[in-house]
Amino acid sequence: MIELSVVLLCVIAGLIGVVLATIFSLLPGLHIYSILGFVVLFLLSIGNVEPLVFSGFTISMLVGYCLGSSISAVFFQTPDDSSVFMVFPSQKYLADGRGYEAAYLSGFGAVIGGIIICLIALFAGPFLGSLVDLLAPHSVWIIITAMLFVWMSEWPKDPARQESRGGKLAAAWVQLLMGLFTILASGVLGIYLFFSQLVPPERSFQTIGAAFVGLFAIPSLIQNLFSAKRAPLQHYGKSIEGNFAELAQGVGAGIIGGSMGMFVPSLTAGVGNAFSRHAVSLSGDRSFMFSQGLARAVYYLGGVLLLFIPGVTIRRGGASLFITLFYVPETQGEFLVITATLIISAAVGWFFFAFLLKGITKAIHRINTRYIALIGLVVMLLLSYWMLGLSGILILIVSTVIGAIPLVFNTRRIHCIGVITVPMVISMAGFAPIITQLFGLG
Amino acid sequence: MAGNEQVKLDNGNQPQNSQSNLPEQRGKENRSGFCPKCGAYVGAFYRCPVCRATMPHGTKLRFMQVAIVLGAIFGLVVLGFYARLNPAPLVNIGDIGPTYSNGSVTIKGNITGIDFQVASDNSWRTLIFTVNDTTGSINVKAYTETADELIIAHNTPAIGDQCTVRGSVYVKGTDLYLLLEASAYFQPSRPLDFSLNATALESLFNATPADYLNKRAKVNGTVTFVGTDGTYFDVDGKVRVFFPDYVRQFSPSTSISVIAGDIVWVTGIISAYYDTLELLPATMFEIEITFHGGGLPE
Repeated sequence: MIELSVVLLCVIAGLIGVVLATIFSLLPGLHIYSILGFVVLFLLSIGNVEPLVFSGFTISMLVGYCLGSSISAVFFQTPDDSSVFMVFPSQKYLADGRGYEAAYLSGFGAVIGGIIICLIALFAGPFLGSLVDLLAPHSVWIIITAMLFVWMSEWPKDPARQESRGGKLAAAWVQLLMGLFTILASGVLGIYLFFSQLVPPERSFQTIGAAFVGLFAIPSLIQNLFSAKRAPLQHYGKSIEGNFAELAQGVGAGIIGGSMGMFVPSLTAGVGNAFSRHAVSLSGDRSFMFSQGLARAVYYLGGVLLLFIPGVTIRRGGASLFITLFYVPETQGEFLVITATLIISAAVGWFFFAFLLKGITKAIHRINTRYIALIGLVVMLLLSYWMLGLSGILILIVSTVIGAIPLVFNTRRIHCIGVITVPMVISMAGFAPIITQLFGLG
Repeated sequence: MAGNEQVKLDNGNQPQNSQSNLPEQRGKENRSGFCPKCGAYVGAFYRCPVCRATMPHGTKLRFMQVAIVLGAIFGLVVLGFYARLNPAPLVNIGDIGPTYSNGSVTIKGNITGIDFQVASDNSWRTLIFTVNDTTGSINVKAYTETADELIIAHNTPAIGDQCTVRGSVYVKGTDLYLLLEASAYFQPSRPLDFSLNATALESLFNATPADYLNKRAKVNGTVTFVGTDGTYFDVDGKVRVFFPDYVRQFSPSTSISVIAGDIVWVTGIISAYYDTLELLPATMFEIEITFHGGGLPE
């Protein structure tokens, strides 16, 4: 039996969490897991924490992150692993003065995604557990196939500009091979991170944090820092364009993409979206951006809800890891409280997001985004240093250089997800001891 | 949706194509990313897609491409050297807490408990042993593949072993343990404290039990009695050699046929079961029959 005071505290923590996370997420490059890492350290140091309240706070932080990072991804072009595909069309929208529309669609997708995943978890919870059990033995080949598909399905962008046949062939393969190089380099980085102890052991729960920031966010921040580009005057409208077909297509693609990230370990919504776009023949930027926001919400929030579904308690994603550092939820009551907190924080978060988006849309052309990028860069460096020490900075530097490869070779940035998929496949296939020996880490 | 911000559903009314940007590009010829000849947007590519003119930023971009690839390789090499310095640092068991989750660490201590769980259909096996040091204790788990590897390599743990274990810290709620992933990461050490005969051991133990309890001794003597269930035998009527369950489980295909009258050397941990002085061998291989006596006289 959960006391009413705990339920109320959970909702209040949820409201605080969604507002804080939406604000924090405006800072380009800042991943909410970095903030949650510090929250975990603080709560563990004080002890005697009500875990359900922390869980409510965590899930609402994720809601706020899905909303707030839609703004920073569009206006400051700093994606994380699950929004890398969104940056390209949103850049186009931003250049056309339609950044508001892009961020609105993505944020709207996140709220719809949050509601959909709640409904799925509430009415099909046990089925989700069975689905995870069904997929678990097949995870290795699913991950390998997914990474191969992401690599092979990339459309060579440069060859048409070459004159000779050899030049066209070389231009096509340089881009594809650099995609493969990015996967392998990220994979080697992942092997060092997963199979050795690069960071102080007492901060192991945040091992992957600095690498993610370096691979996905810092290269964009540096690019923005040296870019002469300034956002043009943005149009703010009381309505945005869209039709039911686009929304329906976006919902389908978002659920498929987010679910892949939610059910298959190490695949994020970014990889899932590469599949789902083909699965539903997604076309058009609006349905695409809407589906991206929706997929991210399904991926991040669904991962936490899997932990709370009674009898399932599967851990997917960093937020679940943080919660299980305190406890493992077991009851239907806890599940319902968390679901309610999610929906309430999504509703409140939406209004707050709309308010912030309106203000930023009207002000962005007056803001020098170089300063924003600089602040983001400094904050990320400081947070990495505080959390992981000098080794965190070393990881950040190496991962940033790897993350810059897709930028200069015009290949997919989602290839950087090799930092998780490669070591995960090695571990699941039982090759970890061999690889550890091979890399001299035994 | 908030307030008056409604999604306008217009059944397919498409926005103006954002790619049709020629009017916007006029006057931008000298800006970075635009073709200096025809004014088309080129971005980071080497050549203009319209007139195929070579872009002035091409050399700079090529330099950056080479520098970044070399930088990534160099960075990974440096990181590799750094990772090899201490891939699993030695930590105190008492220090391991929730924030160590997924960490790769090494612990050193004594084994104080062992549990070996086998599924009824033998589809999975889990070996769990408890390691203590002066700061605390932690369970180490090895699942089916690793457990089998340990048994095949005769590298199984035993109570009283001093050991070094490398593993990953797993935390889920109150469940905190070290996951052993390869036999090579478990290194037991069994230094011998005494080597003497059974009668001498009994008298020494009876004088000062605390000095001998949990120490490792190599004892010789004559087998005087063998338990009917095959789990123990007595040496010189003074010391009982007892095979714990895990010793038999870890050596399912190894049987030691000891009969009364045999002269044996047995190595094991000194223990006491009520008033009986016991010796607990770590494996079946710690029992050495030096003379087959063929039975004692009645």
